[in-house]
Amino acid sequence: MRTLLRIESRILSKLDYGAILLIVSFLYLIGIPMFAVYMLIVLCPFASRFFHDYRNRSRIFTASLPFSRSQIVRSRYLLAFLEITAMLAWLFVLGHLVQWAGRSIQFVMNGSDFLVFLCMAIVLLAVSLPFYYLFPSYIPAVLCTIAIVFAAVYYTLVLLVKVLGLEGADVIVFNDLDPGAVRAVQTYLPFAPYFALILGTALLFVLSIKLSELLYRKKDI
Amino acid sequence: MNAVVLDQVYKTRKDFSIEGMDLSIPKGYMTGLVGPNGSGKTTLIRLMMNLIHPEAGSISLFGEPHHQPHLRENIGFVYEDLYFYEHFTLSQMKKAVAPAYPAWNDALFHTYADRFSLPLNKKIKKFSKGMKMKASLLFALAHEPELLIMDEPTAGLDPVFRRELLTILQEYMMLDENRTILFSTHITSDLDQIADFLIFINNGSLVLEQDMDTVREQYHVIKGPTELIDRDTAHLFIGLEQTAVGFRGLFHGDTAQFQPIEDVVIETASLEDIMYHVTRKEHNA
Repeated sequence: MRTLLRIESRILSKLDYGAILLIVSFLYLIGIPMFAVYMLIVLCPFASRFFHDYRNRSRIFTASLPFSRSQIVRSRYLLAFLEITAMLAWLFVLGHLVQWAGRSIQFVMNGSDFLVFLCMAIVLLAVSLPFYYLFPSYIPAVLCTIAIVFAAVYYTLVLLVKVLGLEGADVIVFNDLDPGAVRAVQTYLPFAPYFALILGTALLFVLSIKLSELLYRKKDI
Repeated sequence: MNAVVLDQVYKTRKDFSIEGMDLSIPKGYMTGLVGPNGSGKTTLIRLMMNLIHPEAGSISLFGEPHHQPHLRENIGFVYEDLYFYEHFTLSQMKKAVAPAYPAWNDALFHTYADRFSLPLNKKIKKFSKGMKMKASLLFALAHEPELLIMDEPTAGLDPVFRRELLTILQEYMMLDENRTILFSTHITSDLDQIADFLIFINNGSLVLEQDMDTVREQYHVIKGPTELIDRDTAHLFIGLEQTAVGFRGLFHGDTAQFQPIEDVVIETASLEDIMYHVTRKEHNA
């Protein structure tokens, strides 16, 4: 698994990682809402990785290495999880650093916000990834991801507006919606909300891995 | 003992089908897999490597089901392209891939890299087709596999390195009597020199599976004047070409019947002759 993780982590160069971090940090600092930034965090690395697979037909090479298809799938999921966690942690630290330096910033995550956004990111990942193992080509999988992102943005907005009681408001400032994520969890998951959130997310993530493993095992490369 | 066994394997592809194929690749020998373009060579290799799945039948490598991942520790694969991330250098690729193989030999890797004149710090995307093929071979050989599976390895190579490759493969075979090579090609002259066994497929069907000595003994090209060819004698040949001055036919079997005839020349058939006439016969059938 470590060998596979090493291969996976090098598919994106240090420059790629640097560019993604820079863009995400910039968007966060200029006040783009977190619920939009986390989608970039989720989608950029893994979509790029599948793009490189598709362009170089490298699945033929990796499937010929002494690893099972399940191990290949699991390593990609694990790396995506680690990347998302690391990038959200970076934004968490960045927000606090900026605040500590006495500068104003639109939204600084606390522990609950971090957990909720992490779970949302993992859910988005879990829903999107199996499409990359389902289709023989990269394009339909990307189209599915785009559709999922649009749906996720729309329903997140509706949910946050509702939870924050802004339904009747004349103007809704997107940046004001970020604190609504935690409130939504507390509203819709009344019993042990964070435990239920983590459990539900973990369950969905594992189911997604199992589905992708099944699809990839049966796939002709 | 066989390195690879296919038992009643079925696989449908867009242009052809493999139907109930039985095949074995003997351990310790070099087997040539020949056939025209689109005959199913790559499909067979991908079935063996578990890249595609048979609809029915079974495949075993070293006596175990072929999908066991640990078996691939002992297989070196060379496909028609390198199929790795093009922004990697060979040095980066080595760091990523080497830990996957317990028997990885770093000294051997550098020896072959020098011998193939491959730059370790140049990005793969800047490699020529020939360099990519050499790089593929480099990674296949560096973990000292027992079985080397090669799909059209000579396709992108210049004649000088093609000759060098055949020498390398002979050296590889000599180091251990258990080593096996499956060498797929449509450039049959490569195999004339080095193959011990021959598998010839066409349209997904097995046409010939024999050791090279038997092939050389049994297949001949007969040349002679056109007058000798009539409806009865034409049937003796697998394939026949006629011009105003003479004929040239591929014959399978004992050539004793031709020896008393004057003006007839009997030659051992090359693999190209066999492939050409058999393919044409099947095409005309």
